[in-house]
Amino acid sequence: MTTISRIITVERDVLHRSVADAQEFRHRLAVRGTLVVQLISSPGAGKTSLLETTARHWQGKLRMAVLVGDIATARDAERLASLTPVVQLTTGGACHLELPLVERGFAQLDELDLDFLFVEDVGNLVCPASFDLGHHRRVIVLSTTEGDDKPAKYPKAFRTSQALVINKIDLLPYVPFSVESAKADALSIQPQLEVFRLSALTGEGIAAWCGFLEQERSRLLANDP
Amino acid sequence: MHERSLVNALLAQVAELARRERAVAVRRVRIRVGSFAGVETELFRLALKEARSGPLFADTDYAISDVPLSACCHSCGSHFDVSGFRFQCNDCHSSDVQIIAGDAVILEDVELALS
Repeated sequence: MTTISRIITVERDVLHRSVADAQEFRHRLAVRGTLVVQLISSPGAGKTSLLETTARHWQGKLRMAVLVGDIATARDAERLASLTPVVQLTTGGACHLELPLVERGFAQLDELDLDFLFVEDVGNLVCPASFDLGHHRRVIVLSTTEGDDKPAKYPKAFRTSQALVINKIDLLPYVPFSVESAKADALSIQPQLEVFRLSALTGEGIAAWCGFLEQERSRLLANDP
Repeated sequence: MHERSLVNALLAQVAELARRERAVAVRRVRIRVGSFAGVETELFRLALKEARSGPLFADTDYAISDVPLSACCHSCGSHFDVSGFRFQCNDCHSSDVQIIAGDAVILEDVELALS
């Protein structure tokens, strides 16, 4: 007996379904007037500190909330809880967030009227770059203690971001980090990157960063009601 | 090791096709892995081997090909391979370029045994 076989052509991105779901989430949040900002970085670059300082800057003026992803523990959520509504997403070992977890977390914030929703990904410059979380902007945080060679080493994370935050500039006198060289490398990978130098600890540069986010939200409101 | 997530998404799609066609086995799955997909091909193969994919996949041949990262230039229209992650047109040096291939894992086709 001969076997019958059939070849079915697919020619599609393996992640096309999650991209379609992400598109829907992005649209849903845009309609509500909420700008979704995904933050990615290496562990310890200061994503949580940046969010704490941002929340203080906007206190009483703009409404934000945070979904914070970690492999284990709720420490980041505990740090943020006194400043902003926050939901801890625990990946249970996975090295990156995926949309279903983000959607489940957001369901807990669904009642809130928000101007900004931050999604703090797991600290990792590799895996998070491949997943669409339904964000409007992806921001990469690079700190001066990590070395200025990171853009060249993790090109995908930089290529897929719209803004680069160079954090811990208060430490520049003590570390061999060239802001110019990190910036030049990052811009050769993604010329459209908006670059911010700041210190989440001292607050230097925070006003420009928050101004950028406010402007991006205005653009969202203008383009996509 | 997000290769596992990609493998799970891939196998779910192939299994769905196989069910829809009432296939008795999946013979071959062809996949293109882009050099900028953020995937380590060897880890991807390993994740395929380790995946609990069920009896339909008992003798499946996974044909994986690597695809270079390529882009087209919005200024002069030329197509080129991106080398060294420098996103700049080889001809006119504009940086207004768009990736056209090599940044994803693509499921090309699936060969199913129907009886």
